[in-house]
Amino acid sequence: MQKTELLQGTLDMLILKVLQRDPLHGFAIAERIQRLSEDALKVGEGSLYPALYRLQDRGWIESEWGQSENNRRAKYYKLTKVGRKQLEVESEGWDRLCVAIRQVMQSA
Amino acid sequence: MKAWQILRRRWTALFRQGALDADMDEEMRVHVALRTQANIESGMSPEEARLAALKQFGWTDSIKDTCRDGRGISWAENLGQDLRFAVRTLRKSPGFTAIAVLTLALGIGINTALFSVVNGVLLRPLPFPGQDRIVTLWGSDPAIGVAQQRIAPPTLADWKTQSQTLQDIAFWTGPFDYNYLTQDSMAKVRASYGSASLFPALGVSPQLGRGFVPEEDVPQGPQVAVISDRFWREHFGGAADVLGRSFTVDTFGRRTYTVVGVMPPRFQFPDDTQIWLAAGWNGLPQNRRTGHWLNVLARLKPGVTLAQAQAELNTIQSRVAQEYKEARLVREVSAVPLLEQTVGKSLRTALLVLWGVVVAILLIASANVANLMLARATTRRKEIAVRLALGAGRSRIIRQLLAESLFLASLGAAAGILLGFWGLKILIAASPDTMPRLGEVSLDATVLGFTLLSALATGILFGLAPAWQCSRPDLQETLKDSGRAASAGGAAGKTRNLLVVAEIALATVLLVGACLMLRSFGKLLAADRGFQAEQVLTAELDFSVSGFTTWVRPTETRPQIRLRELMDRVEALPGVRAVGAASGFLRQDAYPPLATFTVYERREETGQPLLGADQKAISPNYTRALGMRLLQGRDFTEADRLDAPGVALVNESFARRYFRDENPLGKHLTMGRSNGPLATNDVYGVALWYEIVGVVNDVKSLTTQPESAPEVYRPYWQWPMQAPTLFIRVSGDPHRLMEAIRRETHAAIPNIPPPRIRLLEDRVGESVAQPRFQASLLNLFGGVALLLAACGIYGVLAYSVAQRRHEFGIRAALGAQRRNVQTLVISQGLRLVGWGIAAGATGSIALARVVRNLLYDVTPLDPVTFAVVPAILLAVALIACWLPARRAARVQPLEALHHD
Repeated sequence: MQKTELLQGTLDMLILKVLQRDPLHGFAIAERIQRLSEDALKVGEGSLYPALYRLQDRGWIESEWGQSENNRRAKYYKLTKVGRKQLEVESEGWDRLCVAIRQVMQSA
Repeated sequence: MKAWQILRRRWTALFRQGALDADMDEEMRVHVALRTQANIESGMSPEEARLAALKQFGWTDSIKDTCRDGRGISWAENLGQDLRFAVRTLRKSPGFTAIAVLTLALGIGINTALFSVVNGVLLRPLPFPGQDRIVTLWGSDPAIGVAQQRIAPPTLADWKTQSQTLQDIAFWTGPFDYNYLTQDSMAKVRASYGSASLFPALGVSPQLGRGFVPEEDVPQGPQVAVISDRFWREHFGGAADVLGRSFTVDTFGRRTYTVVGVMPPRFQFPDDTQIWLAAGWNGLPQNRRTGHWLNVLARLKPGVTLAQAQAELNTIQSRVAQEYKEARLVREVSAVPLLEQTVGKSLRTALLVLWGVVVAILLIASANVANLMLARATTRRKEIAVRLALGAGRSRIIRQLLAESLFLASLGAAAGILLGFWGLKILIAASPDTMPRLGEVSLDATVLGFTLLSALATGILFGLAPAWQCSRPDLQETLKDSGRAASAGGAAGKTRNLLVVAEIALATVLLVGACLMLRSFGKLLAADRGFQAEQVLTAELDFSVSGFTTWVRPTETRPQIRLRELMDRVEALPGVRAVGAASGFLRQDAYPPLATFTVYERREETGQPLLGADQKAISPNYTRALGMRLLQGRDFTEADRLDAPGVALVNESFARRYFRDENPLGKHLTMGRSNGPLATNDVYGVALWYEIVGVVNDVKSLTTQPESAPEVYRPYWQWPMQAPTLFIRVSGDPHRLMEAIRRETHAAIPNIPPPRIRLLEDRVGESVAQPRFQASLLNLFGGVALLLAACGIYGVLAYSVAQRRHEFGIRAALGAQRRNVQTLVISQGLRLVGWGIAAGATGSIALARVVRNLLYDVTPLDPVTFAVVPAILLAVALIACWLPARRAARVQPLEALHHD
C-alpha cells in the first residue's frame, strides 16, 4: 500500500479533529485516522505519541486514564476548550491552504 | 495556557520524571496490547500478532525521548547540562575556583553577619501589636538646642484633653533599681511607674489580672503593682493566686504594693522592667509646669499620620506655652516612632553606614571575581569561538557562562553562610552591652533569604559582563589567532581596568570612613574630660533602706553624719589619697539639664528661658579626688554645714553662659523661680539663696559625644544625700582596696547593701564602647576592602604581564633594561590606582556628611584622613604592582621567542 506522507503539522490537526466528537485512547486515534482516510493515512506510533504529548503540553488536549471498550485500562485524550478553538483556526487555515494549492495546480 | 499551569507542568516534568515515564510505559503497553488484539481479529496467530504489533511500534526508547521533548523538559535538561559543564570546567581549574569562592565567601559572610544585626536591631518590628503606630512624644525647641525634653504633668493633661489625633496617651518614669525585700534577704529589682493607659497604648494586656486603672494614676492612690512573668515565676513560684498578694520594696521610703496583674512572658517595657508600680506613687509633684519628668508615648488614631499628629501637638503646645508664659515652656513637640526611639539615632546611622560598607565590600569582591572570570574567559575565547562556529547559539553560551558564575556564587554563599554564622557570634560577643535589641539578633530565614538574594545578584553581576563580552568575539580573528595575543584584548581589558578603578574607588571611600572613625575615637579617648579617671574607684551607696531621714533636717539620722564617718574611715586606709562624695554619679546622658535657676535681683528679659543647669551636692574633697581644678574663689569646707550660710560652686560653662561679663563670685542663686529676700529660709529651713563662692572647671558627660553642661554644686551638708557615690583616688593598684572599702562601709553603715565598687576608668570606657565598636568594625572592614582591592590590582597586572610575556621578551631582546620594563608595568598599575583614588576621594567628600553625626571633634573633610588614606592605598598598590613588574622584568629574550 502506498503510504501517503503527512504534511508537516497536519497530524496535530487530524488528532484534534478526530477528538472533536468524543475522547479516544491513542490506539483508537490512530485507527480512526486510518479508517476515515480509507487507509490512505497510516499514523505510526513513533509520530503519534510525541504529537499527543506535544498537544498536551500546549494545553490543547488533556488526558485521563479510563476503561476501554474491552475492559482494558487505557489513557483517553480529550479536547480542551483551547483545543477546540485551535481546531477551528487550523481547519480554516487548512481550507485556505487547499484552495490556494488547488488554484496553483489548476492554473497550469 | 495560564502561567501557573505551565509552571505546574514544568514542575512535574522536572521533578516527577519517574512517574511520567511510568505513565508513558503503561500507555505504550496498552497500545501494543490493543494492536495485538486487532491483529488476532484480522486472522494472525497470537504470537505472530504480538510480534507484528511490537515491530510496528518500533524503537520504543527513541519514541519516549521524542515524547519527553514534547513534554517541555529540554530547558531543564539544558540547565542540568550547563551546570554539569560548569562543575567540570571549574574542577579543571581548582586554583581559580578556590580563590573565587573564598573571595565571595568573605564578602557574603560579612554581609550575612552584619545584615543579621541590621535585621534584628533596625528592621524587626517591636513585639507590640501595631507597633508602627506607637510614638514617643518629647518637648523640643531647636532654637535653644533642646531636642528631647520630657513632659511636665500639667502639660500632658492639656495634651490629653485637646488632642484629636492620638489615643491612649500614656506616661512612665523609670526604670529604677529598687530593693526588693523578702523575709531574710534583699535583692535589686528593676521597677518603673506606669500610667493606666501604658499597657493599652502598647497593645498588650496582662495574662493574669488587670492593668492599671485611671484612679491609680492619682497621687496617693491605691498602692498596686503589675509584675512581669519572670518576676512572678521567680518570686511567687508562678502561683495562680498571686493576685491580691503583696510585696515590699524600698522606693526611698519602704512601701508595700498589692499585685493586681501579671504581664505575659517576653513583655519588656521600658528596658527590662520587672515590676510596674502605679503612677500615683512616682513621688513627683503633679502640678508644676516646669517639672519635665514624664516619658510619654501614645498611639496614632486610625488614619492619622505621624506628621498630622506632630502638627496638632505643635499647635496645642504653642498655645500652652503662650498661656503659661512665665513657665517658659518649649514651643514644639517632637513625635518619634517607638522603634526609632528604642534604637536611637546614632546607632541607626552607625548600622546603616556599616551596612553600606559591607555591601561595598561585596561589590569589591564581585569585581575581583568578575576580573578573574574575564581573564579566564579571554583565555577561553578560542573554545567559545569554536562552539559558536559549530552553531551554538549566543544565548546558550551566555547561559552557560552564567551557570558557571551562579554556581560559583552558590558555593560562595554556602561558605559565606558558614562564615557569617561564626562572624555573627564574634560580632555579638564584641558588641557593647548597651546596644539595644541585641537579643533580637539571629541568623534567621530573613537573613538567609537576604544572603541567597545577594549571592544571586552577585553571581549575575560578576557573570554577565564576561559572558556578554566573550560571546561575541570576532570569530575569524580569534580562530586565526594562534594564541599570540599581542596585548590584553581591547574591550575585555578596558572592562577589567574599569573594574579595578571602581574597586579602588570603593576601597578609598571605606578607608576614609574607617580613618575618620579612628581619628574620632582617638580624639574621644584623648579628650580632656575635666577630671583624671586613672586610679579612681567609685563606690555607689544605696541609703534607701538604711532608715535615714533622707531630707536635710538637722537630726541625728541624717545620712551626712554616717557618710562623713565612712569617708574618714576610707581616707585612713593605706594607699588612699583623697575621698570625696557626690549626690550622684557623673553626668551620663545627653538630655539638657533639668533644673532651673534664678539669679538674685537679676532683671530678666522676657522670653529668655530660665537658667538651666544640673545640680548636685559634693563633699569638700570631691574636686581633689576627681582631679578637678578650682578656677576662682574657694572650694567647700566641712564648715559649710546646714546652719551655715548657703553656698554654691558653679562650673565654667555656667559662669560663661550666665555671667558673661560679670564676676559670678558673690552672686546669689536659687533653684526654680523666686523673688524672696536674701537670708530667708525655705520650707525645709534651708537658706533660700546661696552665694557662689567658687568656679570649677567643666566635667564632661560620659556620653559618646562628651559635652559640658552648666552645673551648680552644693555642699553635701546642705542637700539630701539619698544615693551618694564615693570617689576614691588611690595610689598603686586600685583593685587592692575594693575589699577594704566594702569592709569599712559595712562597719560604718551596717544596714545598707554592699556598695557597687568599680574603676572610674572602666566606666569611662563603657561610655565609649559604642564608638569603639564602630571604629574597630569599620577598620576591620576597611582592611578587608584594602586587601581585596590590592588583590584586584595584582590580578589585573599579573594577568596582563602573563599575556605580554612575548612583548616583554622582545623588549628585552631589543635591549630594554629590567628597570624600564618594571617602570612600564608599575606605571600601568599606578595609573589605574590614581584614577581610583581620585574617584574615591571625590565620592568620600560627598559621603562624609553621612558619618558627620558619628564623629567627635573631627570634621568630615579631615585633612589628615585625606592625606593618610591615599598614601596607604598607594603604598599597598605599589607592592601589588611591584610583584608582577618584577616577573615582567625577568622575562628572558629567548623564552619569549619560544613562547608559542
